[in-house]
Amino acid sequence: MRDFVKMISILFIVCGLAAGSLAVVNAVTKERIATYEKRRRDAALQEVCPGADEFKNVAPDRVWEAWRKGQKVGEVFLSQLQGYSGAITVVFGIDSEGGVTGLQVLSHTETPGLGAKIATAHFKDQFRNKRVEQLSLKKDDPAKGQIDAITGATISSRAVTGAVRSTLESFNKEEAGGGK
Amino acid sequence: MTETGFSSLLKELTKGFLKENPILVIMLGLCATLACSTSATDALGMGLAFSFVMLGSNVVVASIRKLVPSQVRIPVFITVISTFVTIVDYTLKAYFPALSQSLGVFVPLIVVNCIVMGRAEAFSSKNTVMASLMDGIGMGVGFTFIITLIGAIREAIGNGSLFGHQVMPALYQPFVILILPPGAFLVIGFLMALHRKVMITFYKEDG
Repeated sequence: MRDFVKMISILFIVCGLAAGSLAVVNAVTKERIATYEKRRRDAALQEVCPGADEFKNVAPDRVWEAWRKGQKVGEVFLSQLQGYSGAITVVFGIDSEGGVTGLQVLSHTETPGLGAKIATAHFKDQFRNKRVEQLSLKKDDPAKGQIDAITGATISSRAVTGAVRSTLESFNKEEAGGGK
Repeated sequence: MTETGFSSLLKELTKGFLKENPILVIMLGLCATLACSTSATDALGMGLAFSFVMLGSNVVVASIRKLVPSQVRIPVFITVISTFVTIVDYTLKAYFPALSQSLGVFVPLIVVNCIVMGRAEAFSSKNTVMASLMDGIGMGVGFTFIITLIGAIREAIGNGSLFGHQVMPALYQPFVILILPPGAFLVIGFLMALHRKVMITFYKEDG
């Protein structure tokens, strides 16, 4: 019985000390981590919709309206998708005519040297000025597709392209249905 | 400190480098080694993060070793280790965001890196704080050295670069397999063979 009490109290003290030190570390780093993440996201918003001076968050952390000098110039979307080896978060914008204005990869865990190339300008810049129906890999849809897959990383390329396309398609459907 | 005390401490310090290298000899924690050695930068970051956790957990475990009843030692060790890992994780996120981004999920996974647990159980729960500190430094340096070496080899041959800088001529066609998971096994295998050769030739170990 005495052993039992001793075991429990030792475990209790160790866990208490651990929790206390973590609370301190969390308090010290929390703000920095949050600012950093926000700054990264704001930079990405600005990059995918150049020229906009204000972003209104219409659906929390998912859709933003881009405004320039009091006029709405487009929309920015954040989309999370399943890549080849984990979740990929992308941010992309469209202008008022529905053409893509830019794409940024916020986070991914794709294979370095292969799938990780989705974050290179060479791949991302292909999306600029494309319309929704052109957003397929050339090898999947030779007639309309306008996106070149990365050599050796078809799955990652297809995942990003497909996610951008389906986000836009469902957004267009909502727009049409909602009669905005 | 006596002469023998000093030399035995020195032995604890240096053994992790070659004689009991955590990757090549003890062969624990290979999961992290495989996953984070696709580039020299990631490997070095993983090695340093690991070393910090190793050092912290070894010292704390050794200093509380007499207070902890042996029945609950495993949960206590795990709590200590995971606390250090979370501290590293938050610190990296706050001060080295780029590194934290590329190490991704593998920093939290140091918790289950068996070397840390293995050293806590096999060494620091039975030895003095000073010896455990030495053991921790030795293991950390040994791990960091080998994982960075693996990362450098894989990055140079598999991607033509080193620490992110192009080192191979432009015509060089990278052997992509080396930065894929099987590449890690190939490199570790070759390094282990080389390590055995060195140990037998220069340190007169048995073949």
